[in-house]
Amino acid sequence: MAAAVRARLPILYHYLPTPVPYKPALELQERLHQLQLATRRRQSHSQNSSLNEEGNKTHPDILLLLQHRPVYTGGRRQQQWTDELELEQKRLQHLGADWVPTARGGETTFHGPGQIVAYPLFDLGRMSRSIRCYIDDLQSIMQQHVTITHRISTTPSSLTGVFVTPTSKIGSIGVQVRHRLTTHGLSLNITPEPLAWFDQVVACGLPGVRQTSIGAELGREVRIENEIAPLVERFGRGFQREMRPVLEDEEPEVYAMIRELEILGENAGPWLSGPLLSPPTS
Amino acid sequence: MASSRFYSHNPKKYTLDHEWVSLDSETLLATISITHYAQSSLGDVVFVELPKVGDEVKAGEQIGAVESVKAASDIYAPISGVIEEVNSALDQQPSLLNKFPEGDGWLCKIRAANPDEMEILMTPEAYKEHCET
Repeated sequence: MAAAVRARLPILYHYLPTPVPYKPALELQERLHQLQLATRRRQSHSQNSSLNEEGNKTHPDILLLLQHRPVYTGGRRQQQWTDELELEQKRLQHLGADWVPTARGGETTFHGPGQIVAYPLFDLGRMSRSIRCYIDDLQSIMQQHVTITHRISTTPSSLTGVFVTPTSKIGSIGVQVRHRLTTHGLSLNITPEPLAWFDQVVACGLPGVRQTSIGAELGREVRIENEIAPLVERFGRGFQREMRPVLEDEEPEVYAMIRELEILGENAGPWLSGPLLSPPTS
Repeated sequence: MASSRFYSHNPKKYTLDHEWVSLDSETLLATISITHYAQSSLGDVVFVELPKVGDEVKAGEQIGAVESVKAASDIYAPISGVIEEVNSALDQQPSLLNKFPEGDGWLCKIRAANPDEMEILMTPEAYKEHCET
């Protein structure tokens, strides 16, 4: 009975239409993660009482879809501060982007307008999915979006991520798992805007691999807004769950936290559409 | 020294987060790593983040991480104490965690501050059941 109830739980999703700064978005993920963890712990402490009882609410799985303002991020292996890293951070900041170290898997990457970032905040334990399967699931969702929705052919690779050719990559993955709860996720280039930024770094530790985008492959303009519905549907199919928007009435706390970030994005003003390629000589 | 390679004298206890701990009741040194179940869930380990020798940790606190392909999973201290030793072989050979998670792939040794904390951890039988549900 309990398993059937869990299986029917929808994944709650939200799309933030205006690009948001990275650090507050990382904080939002952290707050939602803490909320999920606290709710799960409260629930397991009162397991003997009825599931429907007030105050014994289960934690939702959440999917955030958004774009960032231009930012380079490092992976877990790059957390230790070195002189080399400090120089690299300065160089990238001169290009007009932020640089943020993170605790996810993977190495350096770029996020910015024109690229969809998906943050699935899921309970893998409740889904009975291994971490390895979860990474495969994310990869299939992206790959199917590229090949089925857009009819762009991809090439199989022993590396994680989605490749259009062995040397051009369109989608990347990097996640963190704590107590079986996921943060971070995937990024998929939609318009060509992120590509010049990517050219400034060796992304994912793969020299010789360049990034491409759906727009660049199709040779025509694509709009981010049109990608959201098909991507959400792919998540639903991939994880065999109903997808429902985060509603203020149903999840006031979650909704308020997301809305806070959304407003930050709306008030942040215009962003740089490409790297500043002549850094000040000092 | 050679005897330190054998952990089986001390029964293992397990956490909900799939770590195991084996406490030597004489020296109060507890050896810690992740379970076979945990390593199989991760896939190939490419990097292990270890705690620092001398760090004081509380039960449940994050003490390191294991990175498998594109996923970094945090590891938590099963019991409280001071980090006495870390398995630096994992720096060069992170795959030891896949091959011998419950032996040569140990992560660190903690000098137990409160050995009674072992009591609330899962027995092998309880852990087996935890993995199956």
